[in-house]
Amino acid sequence: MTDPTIEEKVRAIIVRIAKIEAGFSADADIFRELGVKSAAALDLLLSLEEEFNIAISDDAFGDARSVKKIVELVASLQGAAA
Amino acid sequence: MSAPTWHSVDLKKQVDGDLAADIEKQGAYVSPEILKVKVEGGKVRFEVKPGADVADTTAKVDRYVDLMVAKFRKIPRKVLHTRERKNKAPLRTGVYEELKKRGWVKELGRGQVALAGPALNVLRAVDADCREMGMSQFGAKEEIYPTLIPSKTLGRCGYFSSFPQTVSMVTHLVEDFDTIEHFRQANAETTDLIVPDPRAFATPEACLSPAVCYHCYRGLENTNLKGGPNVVTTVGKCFRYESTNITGLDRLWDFTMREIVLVGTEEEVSSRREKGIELVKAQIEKFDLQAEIESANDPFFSAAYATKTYAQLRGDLKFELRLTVEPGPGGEARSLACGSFNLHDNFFGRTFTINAQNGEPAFTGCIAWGLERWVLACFTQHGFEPSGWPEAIRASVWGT
Repeated sequence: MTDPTIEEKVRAIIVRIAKIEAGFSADADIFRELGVKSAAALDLLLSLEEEFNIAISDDAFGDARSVKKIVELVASLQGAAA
Repeated sequence: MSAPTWHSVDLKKQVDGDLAADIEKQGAYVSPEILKVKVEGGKVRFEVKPGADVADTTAKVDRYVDLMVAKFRKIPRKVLHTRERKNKAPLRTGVYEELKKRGWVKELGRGQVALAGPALNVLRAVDADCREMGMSQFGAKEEIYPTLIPSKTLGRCGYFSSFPQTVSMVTHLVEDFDTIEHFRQANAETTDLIVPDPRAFATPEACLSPAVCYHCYRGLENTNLKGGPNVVTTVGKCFRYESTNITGLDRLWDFTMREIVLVGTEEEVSSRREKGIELVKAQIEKFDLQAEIESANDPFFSAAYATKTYAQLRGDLKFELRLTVEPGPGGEARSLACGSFNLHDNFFGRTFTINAQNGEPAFTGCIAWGLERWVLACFTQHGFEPSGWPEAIRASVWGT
């Protein structure tokens, strides 16, 4: 089961960078459905790498467009590094 | 009299050729004291005018480079298509000078040219081909737009945050008798524009349009596209201030752009952009041009550079048609972006409340041609003798 603290941290990063209200669906596409500007993608990527001390490939990041997918990606990269 | 001097700042991380080229190009906007910027050996070197405040200019360059480089994350470019021309004659050099000598290009101001004779014929032939493509292949409607664009519209399009360095703003004297009379008297005995008091200028309500498609999105504001995608073709003058980068036909301040503008669902727009790429491949066959189509980024400025370039390249939002033009002074090969194939996601649909047939905010895209650059590429690749030109366009350019 995924560590819930990852989701909390991911949500906090998205809220900070995209300046959107917290409490959005974990399944929502953050760019299309939540209206996060595509220009915020790089800041989101760099913040995730820094917060979780991982390296995320551009392809993997491109496929992770919801909180749920990002949490799964972070968890898998942390697992791979452990 | 003292000479210009070179100075440098260190790069805090390694940069590749594409980023180095953008740092050099946009370095023109960092300070009016700067003559040239070069990225070499882990440093950004810059040449300043005699008497410049070197410490102040160096600090500006340092802040500029830091913002361009700090967050930059490389995404490899994709080359979709490469074409060699059938014409085996060497590329012409000195094309711009020859065009001027023949009176087919006349320089009327910085980055402002008149075209005549076969040079004008090339521009018209390319434009006619693009217009025909829009109407016959995409069912496009024709529209014509103003040269001015409201500053409010450009602001809503995000232009001032992405490309502030290139905006040409239109102002006029404030409606005030004393101000206008002061200005009139100051300019009564001179042929140069004298600005006795900058406060005489009104805040620019309008700008010179930097692209033609923004008008189209604004014109569709609060529209539901119930009948399917909206496709428009248009041609117009566009204006991008290029500072010290203004050169020949390569980089004009005032140039002509033909566009096919696409508005609809994501699938409707992206499939038409793909079709446009295929049609332009056929177009460069017909014009027998050496070319590449590759992914690209717009010249975002400063802090916007890294984030927006990343988004554009990551999403394959922009591809450019690069045509080979006359070699540089040292004989180095050169190509110029003479066309582009762009997607904007649903940004303009959201901004202007345009809904596609599915009821969702519309996606937009455009296919664009920079027509003066085609003139340069065609004369570089086919020369000044009609016999060197491909048959498909020879008659329309040379009348033979």
